[in-house]
Amino acid sequence: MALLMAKRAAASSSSSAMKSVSAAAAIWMRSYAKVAVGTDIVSAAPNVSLQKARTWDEGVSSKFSTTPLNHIFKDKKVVIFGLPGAYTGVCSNKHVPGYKENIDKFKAKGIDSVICVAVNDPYTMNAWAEKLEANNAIEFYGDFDGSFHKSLDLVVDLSGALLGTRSQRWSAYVVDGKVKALNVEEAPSDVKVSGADTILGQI
Amino acid sequence: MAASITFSRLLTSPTTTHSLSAAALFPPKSLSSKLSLSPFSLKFNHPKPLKPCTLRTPSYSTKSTTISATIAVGDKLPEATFSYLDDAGEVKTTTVSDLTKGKKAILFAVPGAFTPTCSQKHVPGFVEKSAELKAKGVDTIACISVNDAFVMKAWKKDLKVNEEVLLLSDGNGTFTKAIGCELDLSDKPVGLGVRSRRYALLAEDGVVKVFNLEEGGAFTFSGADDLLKLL
Repeated sequence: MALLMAKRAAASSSSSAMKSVSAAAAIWMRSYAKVAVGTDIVSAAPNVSLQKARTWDEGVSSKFSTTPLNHIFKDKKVVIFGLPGAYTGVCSNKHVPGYKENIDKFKAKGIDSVICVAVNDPYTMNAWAEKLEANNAIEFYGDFDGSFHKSLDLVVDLSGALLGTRSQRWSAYVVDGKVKALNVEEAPSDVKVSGADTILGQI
Repeated sequence: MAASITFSRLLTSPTTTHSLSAAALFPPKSLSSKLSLSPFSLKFNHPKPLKPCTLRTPSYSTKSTTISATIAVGDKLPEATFSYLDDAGEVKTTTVSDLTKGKKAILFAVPGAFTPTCSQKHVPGFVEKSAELKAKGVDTIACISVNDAFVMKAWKKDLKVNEEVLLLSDGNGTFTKAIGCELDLSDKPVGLGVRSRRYALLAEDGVVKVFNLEEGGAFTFSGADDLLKLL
């Protein structure tokens, strides 16, 4: 039934890329993530590392080091948000800017890092972060093989929109690795619950 | 669960029998991820019969590489679909036949957008030489990478490319797999996953006339000058 509705939605959708994304996601009706309030994010994704956004040269000089999750989360107050893809419309125009603009409010509330993560390689994330001029406020990480999002069950199949397996749009407030608040969008093309305003109210 | 199947499919080794035919990936009406094993796509998972006049490098060649490309000079390019964003930011697709049928086309591939050799040497070379190449009868010059269309568009802007070279996304690596040019960097810490090897090819009416395939991401004979010399 959902498939039929999604097909109809897809057939009548405009040529806008993000509409096809939400149509594709509508088929993928996820109802829960493996991560929830109270989860220890590091234990939920054991042996997973993220790659800090960097240029290739920085990669070479750091010997392409990866950052294990406990380095990111242990003993820290972190606001982390994930999105389907660098350089895509909603991600660039609606999701990231909110966090960038509110960075001072986050710091005032004692947040150590605001992190943006997506299933992209770290070079793309870096170029995108520079383009958005958000590199100073927000830390960008690439989950290049999707292992972080897969472990947390926060993936969505966007092959229909020609993006492959990507991250849901989500945000979380994590203290010393424990998830205190988690918001996952119903449709990846929306920014209804995963924006900066919402999570500011949850800290 | 379907997501994890799809995900593992994306990282499956090239010898898998599940080859995603282009049609299954870009259905206009259905957005299901149903696989269809068309006879056409199955062809590329079996050893091809030796053609009398084609010089083929067998997989047990004296070269140090153990990977041999599926495609060779004299072969017809497999059909596949690429995506890109047009000037209005809409996702558009184009196929191998659109690019090559009845034309002289250069297709060159890079391991990754925003990586040094690709950005500083490979693409700019073709942009600079595009006029000369077109004067020699080349109709289309296209760069292919296993990146999504959004990233390719951003990279195109970043490199200040106009219409000299098309930057196309082989997002799921379908074309790259079909011609046997995957570069599996999944176990390397560089963070790139499965990409394309670097190559440059010249096709006339879809038939490969020149195929310069590099080892991994090396850049020795797949540049614009190298192809210009052969035209």
